[in-house]
Amino acid sequence: MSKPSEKEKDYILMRAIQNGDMVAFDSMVNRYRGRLMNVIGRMLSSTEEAEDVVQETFVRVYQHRQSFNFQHCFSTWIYTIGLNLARNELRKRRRFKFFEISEMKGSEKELAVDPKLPSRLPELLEGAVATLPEKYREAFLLRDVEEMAYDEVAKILDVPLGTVKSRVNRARLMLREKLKPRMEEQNALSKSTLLAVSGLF
Amino acid sequence: MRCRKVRSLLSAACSEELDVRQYAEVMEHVASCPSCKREYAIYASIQEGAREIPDEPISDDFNTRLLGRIAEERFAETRTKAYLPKRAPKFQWRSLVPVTVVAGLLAVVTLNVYQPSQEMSSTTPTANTPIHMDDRYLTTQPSSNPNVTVAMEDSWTLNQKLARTERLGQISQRLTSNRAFVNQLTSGTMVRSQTTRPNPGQFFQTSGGVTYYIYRVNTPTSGGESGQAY
Ligand SMILES: [Zn+2]
Repeated sequence: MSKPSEKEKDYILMRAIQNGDMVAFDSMVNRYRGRLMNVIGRMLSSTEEAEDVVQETFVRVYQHRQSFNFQHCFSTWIYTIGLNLARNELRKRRRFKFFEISEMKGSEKELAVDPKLPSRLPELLEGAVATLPEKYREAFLLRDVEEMAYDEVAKILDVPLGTVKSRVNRARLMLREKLKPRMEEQNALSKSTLLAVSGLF
Repeated sequence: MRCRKVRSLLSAACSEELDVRQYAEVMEHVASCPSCKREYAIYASIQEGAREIPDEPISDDFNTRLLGRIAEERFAETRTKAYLPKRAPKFQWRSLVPVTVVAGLLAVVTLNVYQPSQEMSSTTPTANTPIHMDDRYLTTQPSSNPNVTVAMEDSWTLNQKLARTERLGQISQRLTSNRAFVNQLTSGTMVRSQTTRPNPGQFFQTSGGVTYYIYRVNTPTSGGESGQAY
């Protein structure tokens, strides 16, 4: 007997959840909470708000467990719910941006000219991703960070495959623009240290 | 392959999205072109960095909090199940046929045998008699004590009682429909951050692209409205 695939594991758990098995629900939470947090947390740039959204995602999964269609992929379903909730949050935020700006005033400047940029590439990239426009950010996060297939990303975002491909491509291009000066600077820095070090011997 | 063409394929090459032939052509060019090689290095770093972005932190009590919410859901579900039938009973018109036949027969028999007397009909109130509804609550002046919302009267007529009952019914209906409205709105609430709140005295909710402001309901202190309550 072969081991169940990830997709099959989801189906087994989902059947158990439909029959009221809370241990199965807890297992499902453990399977997806980290992945959802990684996408939604980076969409919202706030861990606290992202946790609320991810919790809400699982509540919706529970509420609608009986209407889950086994013809579809569970992961696509849960990411779709989570991302829609995250988008609602972002929309809400945009609507109240006026209040945020008026409340921030002084602190905004300090944030804008933070001289302490991370030196490690992943953190540098994380910061750059956070500045991408929403639709490019979600496409990049799902494809390049979560390493999902293009067709699954297309299903989650509910856009044609070609649109996803061009959004991901655009996102990579924008990240390149943002990271290039920084990376060349670091590259030069490491080269000069290398030279200095080699000069010692 | 020319630089221009290679550049357009670089990010795909780094993400293993090209077929073997294209990938080989791109890499062949990259090996011999320093500026394309620099570009390739940047895209490769992006791919590498993307896989190494540290995981978002999760609170230790994440599952506990969530399971608490699910327990509430389960409770609500079982309560609904206990009070509501599983399926709405289907109304069968056919089942009415014998009833209608019997009722029709009875009506014919009654009409032939029983003739209501004139005295009976004069003493029984007919449906045409207009029922005077008491709408004094519209003009009642506020009482001196603002906490007293209902001024009890010793000699209440039936009409007054009817009017009061109807009024109470309307108020409770309005309250329950408001309650349903608020419940519906708050069911999607996940707002926690203070910055998005316009005012500490209000809370807001968005639903279907519309923003609602729900003001804190203050108990009337002036007494101006309390007199009008009923
Ligand atoms: Zn070239």
